[in-house]
Amino acid sequence: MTRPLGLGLGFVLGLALFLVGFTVPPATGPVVDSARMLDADTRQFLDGKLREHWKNGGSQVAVVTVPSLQGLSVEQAAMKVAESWKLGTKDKDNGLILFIASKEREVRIEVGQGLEGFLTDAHAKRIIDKIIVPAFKEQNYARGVLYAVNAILAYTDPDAAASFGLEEAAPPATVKRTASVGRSTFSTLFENGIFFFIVFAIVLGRVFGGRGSYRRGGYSSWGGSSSWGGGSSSSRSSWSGGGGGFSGGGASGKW
Amino acid sequence: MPRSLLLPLLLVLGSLLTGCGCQSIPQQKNAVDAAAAEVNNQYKRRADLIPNLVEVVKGYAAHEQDTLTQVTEARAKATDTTIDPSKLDPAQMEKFQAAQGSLTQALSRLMVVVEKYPDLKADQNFRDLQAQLEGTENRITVARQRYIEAVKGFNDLVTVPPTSWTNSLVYKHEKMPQWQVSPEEQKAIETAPKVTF
Repeated sequence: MTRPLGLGLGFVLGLALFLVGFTVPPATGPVVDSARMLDADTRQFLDGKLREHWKNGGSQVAVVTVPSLQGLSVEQAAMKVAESWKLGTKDKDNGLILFIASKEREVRIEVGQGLEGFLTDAHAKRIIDKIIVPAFKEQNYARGVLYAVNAILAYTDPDAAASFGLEEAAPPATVKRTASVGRSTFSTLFENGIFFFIVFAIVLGRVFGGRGSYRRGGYSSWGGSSSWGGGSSSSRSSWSGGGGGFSGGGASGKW
Repeated sequence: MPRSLLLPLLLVLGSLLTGCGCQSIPQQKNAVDAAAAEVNNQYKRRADLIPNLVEVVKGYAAHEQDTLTQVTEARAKATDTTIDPSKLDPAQMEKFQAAQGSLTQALSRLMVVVEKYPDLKADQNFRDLQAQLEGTENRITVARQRYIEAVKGFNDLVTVPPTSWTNSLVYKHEKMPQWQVSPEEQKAIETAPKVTF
């Protein structure tokens, strides 16, 4: 009696999963690289930086790569992740997702409602067009993601972005990668005009920043680095408990 | 009444109250109101972008006066109508959707025309406006979808027992008209825009 029931249940569940198609990856940390597009060094570097950033009272930024959109548009898929993860705090809605679909070669910056005024759709589109797409076309995903995150933070958290720093955002992994192609990171950056863009973005962020009070919130600690997805009761110390809202702002692009 | 009975009685009464729809029906009505406000808000946001967009396009594509006039006129009509959740009826809904739908169409025609002007497409100001317009169209899609979900939740409460009994006894709310894809939009989905050279 119970066995056929279990089998039937399993079948129904399997069918449901098949029909739903796109499944939101679990929120295990700030970098969820399901499509395996980033190398371990970059993943680790970004993970540490973004955790620290959130812990220090900054916005909650995540990088998500998926192997396929399973028939959804990139906007729909990114919104599914945003609605399920609810990054950012409930009162500030300061979450952001850099969402990358490797098979469809599409990318989206999904901006939390509270950050829309700082990182406008036009800014997001520029970051995609001028930083992400050129790097991704050369299959240098690590560089694209790192510089994009750096540029994003220059808008969303001007003060913190200054301390995040361009030098820091180019960890050994990226240098090694570019060096193996036979050019120095620096000259490549100059050629692409990316360097100027980021400097410009940071300067702009500093001039129009005026968000000096962002540390005031008194965010509690992560409670150990493993509690990212812990779902603890304190809304500000847990990854999934933030409750930030997304209304569909941001920009998309293809590479 | 013995005091020992009071607490269980209150508990039973409380659980009846939470499951009967006394709370959930007004709550869901508020959710629909909020979702409708967000839909209005995002459509207004789109309307606010249009004067700047028209201005930029004019600078490069003065010959396209007809298309630009259509956009401006459709915008004027669209800004006249909003969803008023307090007196939602199918006719009002239809009017709103028709007005916004024709603006959507006028805009997509403009975007097809723009393809003929490479200088315009390269203009950073235009690109920024285009990014904002795309972002806003996406926000509209999201807001509409959330509105549809909120209305569905509300209609479930007022039509499905046991909460529907409470509704017919206490609140007497009507089912709300659901968002329909307007005939114009349907046409736009079915027929791809024609590009003539």
